[in-house]
Amino acid sequence: MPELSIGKLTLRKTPKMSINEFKELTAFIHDKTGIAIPVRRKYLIENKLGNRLKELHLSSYADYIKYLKFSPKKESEFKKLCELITVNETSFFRDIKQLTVFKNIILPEIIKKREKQGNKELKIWSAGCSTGEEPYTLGIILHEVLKVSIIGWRIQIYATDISPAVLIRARRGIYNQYSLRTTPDHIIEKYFIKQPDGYKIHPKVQKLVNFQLLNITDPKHTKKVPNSDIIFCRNVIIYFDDEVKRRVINNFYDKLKDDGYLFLGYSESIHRISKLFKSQIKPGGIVYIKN
Amino acid sequence: MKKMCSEYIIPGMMLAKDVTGLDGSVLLEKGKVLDDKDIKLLIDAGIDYVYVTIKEKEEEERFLLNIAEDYVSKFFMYVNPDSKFVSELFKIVVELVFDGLKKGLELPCEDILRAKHVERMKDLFFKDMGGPEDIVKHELSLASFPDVYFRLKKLLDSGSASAKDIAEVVSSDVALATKLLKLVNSPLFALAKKVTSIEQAVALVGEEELTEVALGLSAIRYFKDIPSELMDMKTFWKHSLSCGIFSKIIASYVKDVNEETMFTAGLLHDVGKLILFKNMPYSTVETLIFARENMVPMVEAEEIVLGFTHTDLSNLIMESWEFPDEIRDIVTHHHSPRGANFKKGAIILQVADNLANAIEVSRGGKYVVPGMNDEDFDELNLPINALRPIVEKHNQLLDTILATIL
Repeated sequence: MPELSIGKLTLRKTPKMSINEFKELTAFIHDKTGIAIPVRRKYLIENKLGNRLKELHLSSYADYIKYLKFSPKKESEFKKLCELITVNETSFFRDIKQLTVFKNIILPEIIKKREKQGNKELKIWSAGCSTGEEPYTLGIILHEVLKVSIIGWRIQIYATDISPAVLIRARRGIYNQYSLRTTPDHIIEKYFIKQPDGYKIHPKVQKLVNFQLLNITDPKHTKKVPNSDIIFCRNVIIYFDDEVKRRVINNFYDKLKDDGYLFLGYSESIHRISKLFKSQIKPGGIVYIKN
Repeated sequence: MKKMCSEYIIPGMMLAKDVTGLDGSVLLEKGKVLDDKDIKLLIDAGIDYVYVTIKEKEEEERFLLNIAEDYVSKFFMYVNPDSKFVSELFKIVVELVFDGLKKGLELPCEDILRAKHVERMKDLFFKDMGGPEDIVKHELSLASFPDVYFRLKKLLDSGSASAKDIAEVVSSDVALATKLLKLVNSPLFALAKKVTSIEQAVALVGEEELTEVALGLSAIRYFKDIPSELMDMKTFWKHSLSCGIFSKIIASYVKDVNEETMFTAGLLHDVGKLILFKNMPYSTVETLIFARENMVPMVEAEEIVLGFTHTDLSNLIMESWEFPDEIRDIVTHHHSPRGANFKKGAIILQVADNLANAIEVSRGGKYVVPGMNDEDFDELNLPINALRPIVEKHNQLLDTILATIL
């Protein structure tokens, strides 16, 4: 009997997407999010959106595109689409080397400067924060560096993402072991509380972070971001084409204080696309400063 | 009772043991028939696996087939579901996984990809500050290729080497000679009688053919010093050999291609990846993560993350080593056969790479099947129902030959 069923198996589980539908859909996604999707991912997109079609009882992607553009529920559908096409594999203390640059070099430098200026205020923007691992990691590092003197500082970690679903999880602040796979044990001990359903981030870290739904490619959105001492945007711009990358870099330029630092993902580079920043090689990674 | 990763559970399965939360409290009780909500809870709470029972034998088969289909589908999300090549491959792998599950195969749970020990490794090149040429130049300055390789190459180029000449060079390297003899005596070569000397092997396999296989085997040695913490070399060579075996078997069905050339091309098709690992370990891990989280093949991830691919590196390094043009051309184009001079060879290698990747899904592999065009596949005139016997033959050979060449 199973033999028979294997013979009947089919991989085609969704309606077919025509090239025109693909072009229209990806143009729409690009326009709204900056994310560029090459045509060789057509089947992947079919697979990712196939279930939405089923749930909405739509028979073609053309109908889905209409729904996205004109339905009264288009706003919430767009958010669902974002959840489906953006990825969020992340963990605490991802890219430990870069975080070490932040902890041992950049942060002490800025702290010293601000203390001298008599302005004990720190603003960090975590752009593309996904489920919150990065901003909370930064919060933990601030606690580790400033220790008890942290009470004397006004600190805000402004954490943004375009997917509402990940922000709900970020605000909840409960993580499983997989998220903590790169976190040292003594940090888990100190900054997480064991609960039946996972590890809850400690409130003293959580209160440093402010999560907001925001599209970093849109200057109207980024206007709301406070001027920052440090911007983290790791493994995000890799999904954009050059034009959108440039736009995002411009937005970062506008939102970064003159003596601030920009951190990108380990294998992301902007020197081909923008001259607004120049790179500084530190032991462990590259940081960018305003040119 | 079966141990099962939370992400593979299907609604309707029953818990065989209590599931406890992090703090020891009971999250879900033994005997509970799981629904979608329960499964989501298990995944969110990071419960890696649970124990489930399925009552009826017939029901169990249905469940297992469902699991196999769901599991394998994930690795076929990137490819054209209407392609006859892809569909056949899909069925073959579902069947392998289904059979495995019946025999107690445990599908791997999500595990840790970013190994902590890579964190202290340093890349020698930053993105956009060193292209494939710089990497290969640096690589060449590091270590020299095995001497026996160049002596073999010289013989091959002379075009007039006798069985005795070849045997002399190969035999000067005892380890190489031993491996070569074991390999030609394996069922892969299906020789009429057992071969006891290299000279005999040359006579039966052919001068050029045997020399090319010897070149391939001697090249493997160049990479033996890569630290195992960087990548599991056994897994790497297993995939390479798997490709070599598939290439050779497929070549036996196709006119005008040399089986031994294809074996060597398959064996070395990913040398560019090794160069990448050696010089840019950290970026390589970024690439692996990108490929996995976006469900795209490695070659596409490399293009995006690094700006070049492992085939660019293979091409340059094989050029520097003066590899036979045909092998270099085939290796360089195994993801893009339409640009190849030896197109049939490149297509065969692409089929072999797809088969090898697909089979690995049933053995815990983590990467999506890269796929290929049906029109290219059709150029081989290989009937689609030949794939199943090819896979069976390959599976019988792989493990024994792996022990031979490593």
